[in-house]
Amino acid sequence: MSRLENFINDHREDFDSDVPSPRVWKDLEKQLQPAQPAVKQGGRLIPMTILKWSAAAAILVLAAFGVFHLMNKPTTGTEVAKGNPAIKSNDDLLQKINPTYAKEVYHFTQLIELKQEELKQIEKDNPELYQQFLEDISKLDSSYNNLKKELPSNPNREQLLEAMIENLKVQTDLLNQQLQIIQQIKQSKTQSNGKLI
Amino acid sequence: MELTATIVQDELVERCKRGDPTSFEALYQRYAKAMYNTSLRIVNNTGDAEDVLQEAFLDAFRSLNDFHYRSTFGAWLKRIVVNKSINVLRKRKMHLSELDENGMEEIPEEKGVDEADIQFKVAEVKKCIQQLPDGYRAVLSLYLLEGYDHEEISGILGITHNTVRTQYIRAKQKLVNLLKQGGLS
Repeated sequence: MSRLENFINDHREDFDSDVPSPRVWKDLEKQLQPAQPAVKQGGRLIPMTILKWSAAAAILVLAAFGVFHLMNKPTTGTEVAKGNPAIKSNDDLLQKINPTYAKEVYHFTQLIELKQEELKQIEKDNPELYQQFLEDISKLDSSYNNLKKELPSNPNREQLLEAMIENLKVQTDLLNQQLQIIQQIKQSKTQSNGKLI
Repeated sequence: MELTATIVQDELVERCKRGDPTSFEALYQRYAKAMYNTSLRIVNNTGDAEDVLQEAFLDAFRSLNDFHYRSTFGAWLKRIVVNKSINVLRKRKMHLSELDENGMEEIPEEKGVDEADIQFKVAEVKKCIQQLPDGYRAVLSLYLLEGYDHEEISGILGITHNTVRTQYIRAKQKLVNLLKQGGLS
């Protein structure tokens, strides 16, 4: 060992004389923090938004049921316009294939039944139009029923289920359009009525 | 005494592993200064050394679960600091390859530098080390101040064992010459 080496060895501690800026720890602390409170924050934030949305959804569902019941009352006892009555009996199979899809199927069939009920209101006033609407829907509905029949034996059940859901979506859209047309007819009628009076 | 010190350190590391925020700061305060000086000696720039310090601690804190006491926590952390510091030099295009080329040259041992004439002072030695070129300074610091042996340094720098040896001898000669000049002026 040379003198220089010995000297450095003996004074090793003194060589560590520089001090880092306090900024280093401050920055480090900031970077460390997000890892921990982020979880808490996320835990707090997400449920709030979920709560808000589910509250909104719940109100919407309640309102829909209210409207449904009000509109349903005068026409109770009449048959439901070509619905999908076999759906519920099929629930177990759907549930087995894919629970999320089963939920979707259930959701859409409910929606469709609701809308068909609404549509039925025009049967008295405008039987021709109603018949036309019904035909459009029943085309879709028969293809839906065909898909459903295939379901138990089809090897690719999930894909078939997707097609079924797609069909139900189209049915819902169609019903929405039909209801819109009815709304427009009603509006023009009330307007012309007003003119007559 | 050393034993208890080690145990305390381990406890602190364990508390950090459990995510205790105050322990992070305690662990930082315990090692920050030494690690900063280690990095500063290699990168030779306070800004870069502070960046290295911050990144090294962040890496260490985030990978605490990979630390299994095969060495002391300090040695583990120091290795992270050293590697990051060397990377800074590499980004600066430190000529490690050049080190390699020169490495094969034979160097006369202890060629005529008379250390006996020089009165060493820490501040002066530090200043002269800072004047060494990046490659020399890295090898000399790692060997003389960080306590790595030639084998470890060859691994850290990715150069041959022989290159480490010759570079160290040259670095030391240069340092002694600088000290001599400094002493004269």
